[in-house]
Amino acid sequence: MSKNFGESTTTSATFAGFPERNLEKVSQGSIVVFGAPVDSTLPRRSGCSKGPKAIRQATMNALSCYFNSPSKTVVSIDTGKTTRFRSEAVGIDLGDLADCTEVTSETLTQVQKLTAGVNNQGGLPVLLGGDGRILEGFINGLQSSLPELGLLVFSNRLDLPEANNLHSKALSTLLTSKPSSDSYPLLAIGVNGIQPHENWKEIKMIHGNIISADDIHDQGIEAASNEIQQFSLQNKQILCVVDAGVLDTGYAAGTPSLNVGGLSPLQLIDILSKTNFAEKLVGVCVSNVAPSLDARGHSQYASAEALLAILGERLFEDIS
Amino acid sequence: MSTVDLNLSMQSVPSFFGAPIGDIEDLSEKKIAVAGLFCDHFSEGEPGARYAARQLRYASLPLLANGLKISTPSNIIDVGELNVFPIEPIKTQSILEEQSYRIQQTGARLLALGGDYSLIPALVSGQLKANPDCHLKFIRISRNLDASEILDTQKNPMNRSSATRQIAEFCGGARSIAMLGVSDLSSIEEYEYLTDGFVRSAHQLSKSLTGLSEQIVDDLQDQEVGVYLSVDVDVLALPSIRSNSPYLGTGLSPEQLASVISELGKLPIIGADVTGFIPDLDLSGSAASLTVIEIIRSVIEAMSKESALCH
Repeated sequence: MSKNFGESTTTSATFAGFPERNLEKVSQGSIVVFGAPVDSTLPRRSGCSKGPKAIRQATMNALSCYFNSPSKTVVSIDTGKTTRFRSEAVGIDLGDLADCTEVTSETLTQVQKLTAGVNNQGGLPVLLGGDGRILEGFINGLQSSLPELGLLVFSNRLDLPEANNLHSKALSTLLTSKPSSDSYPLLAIGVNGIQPHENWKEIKMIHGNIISADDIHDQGIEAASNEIQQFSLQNKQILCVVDAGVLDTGYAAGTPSLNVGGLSPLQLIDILSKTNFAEKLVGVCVSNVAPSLDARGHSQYASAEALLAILGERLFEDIS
Repeated sequence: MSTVDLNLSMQSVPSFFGAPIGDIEDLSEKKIAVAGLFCDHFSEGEPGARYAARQLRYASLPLLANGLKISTPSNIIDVGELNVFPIEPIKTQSILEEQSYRIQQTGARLLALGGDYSLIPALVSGQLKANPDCHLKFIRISRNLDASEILDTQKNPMNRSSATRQIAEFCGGARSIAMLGVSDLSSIEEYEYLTDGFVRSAHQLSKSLTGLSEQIVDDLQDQEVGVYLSVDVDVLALPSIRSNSPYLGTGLSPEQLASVISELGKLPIIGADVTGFIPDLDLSGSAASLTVIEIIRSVIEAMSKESALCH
């Protein structure tokens, strides 16, 4: 609502200023954003239902330096690099799934159907969560037509948490493709804390890889960015997932669970900025953002900036 | 009337650093008039900075009571909040300019605390009116350039995104502007507008501060110069402080910011402000307020120094 006193930032935002449209308007190559405002259940902290709205608003804030420029162009004072926001990029915002407040099998089915619908029409689905468990529906929706999916996950854990009557599920079990010696179907980055040994073992069994938060703290972000380049070379279709839980609680407390020793927002964004797999993207999921648990707003801003970095050249053009 | 001997411990009325509370009649040369700005809603950015002055006064109390390394600077007077008209931006602009002018006329220097950057052009305009022969150099420490094109000033007279350009027009162009601690990514049009000015990113400042003050006034060595210092806490890096502009994750540490301000103390500072701090949205509460208090203390020290450069 405008306050009539000048410029207002309280208007409700769509993602990156995309027009709000329905599924019929999805076109080939367009970026299609939708939210699943499902909350987490005990013992995880609630607050994720406000995630999609907060990510959209934070994205607009993160893009403000572009939108303040009549030519949608920014310059890096440090490097001189000039980057333009592609106003011509085709994207739509479908809004949020209605009547979708908790993770249930029905919710996952809704997410699956919508994801499959977007994918079948040639769009790039971008899911804004919501509790991280929605990833199951998202992956199922993509795998119906993309069986050779490579899963790149930024998360502090190797499984999806249990919710209501749904049991916890290891990341490796989400993929339906049969493992082979030359496949590299899963890369998990930022894993931290105690993980079930089975989950660890199963990822290795399907020829996946894990770069822990400690690896990144010890060896620098190159440990992750180099591995992502390898992963990108071996996969034609990449689904990228950012679970905000990968961030250290000291920097970004707005997540359903706590993560001490996780990645800093700058580490996450630096990793994503130094890699480029935008051409191979078949889907993006950002989840576990609970803005009410982070009054300083860092969790949603970090997630929004990570999402913009993932979309990379689909949204930005280097015109130096 | 009988006197009753009560053994009570009374806490003084909160003021900035426990400074004496006064009015314009109490101001004189060498004094610093510290004033609050209870206004944050005329332009973009999250509201809440209007509460900064109140919070900073309250945060001063435990600071003084606990005897931390801070003492009440002898030259400051808390003159309360500057008057504003909450629903009339044009009248607010005019009265801020007038108050800034009147304070400057007493010989004292204004330090405005709280509020947002959209109010500062009015204060700078008042300073210029009071010092017509002085070449004013405007130094802004902020993440944002805020130098967008000035649009309809009648409809929207107080606009943060073009505040720097407004001030540059008052001061004789972009050459009079120095922007420090700017975010690495800035709108190309705003950056090009400031080509003749002095712009340094937070990353560049964190490498070295040697000769910074000299470089800023390099073109004004033989002129009568006054410096207005404007500090926005949005320049601080994550996760220090919540401010009213978008998070980018980069910036200066509180120590680096205090060092920059201290370096600028070589210049003749005739007025200053510290804006952008939103106290009530900050989880760390008083810890954040104490950090901002430290920054303000650096500004007061810089204002109190004898200028080593310029006239």
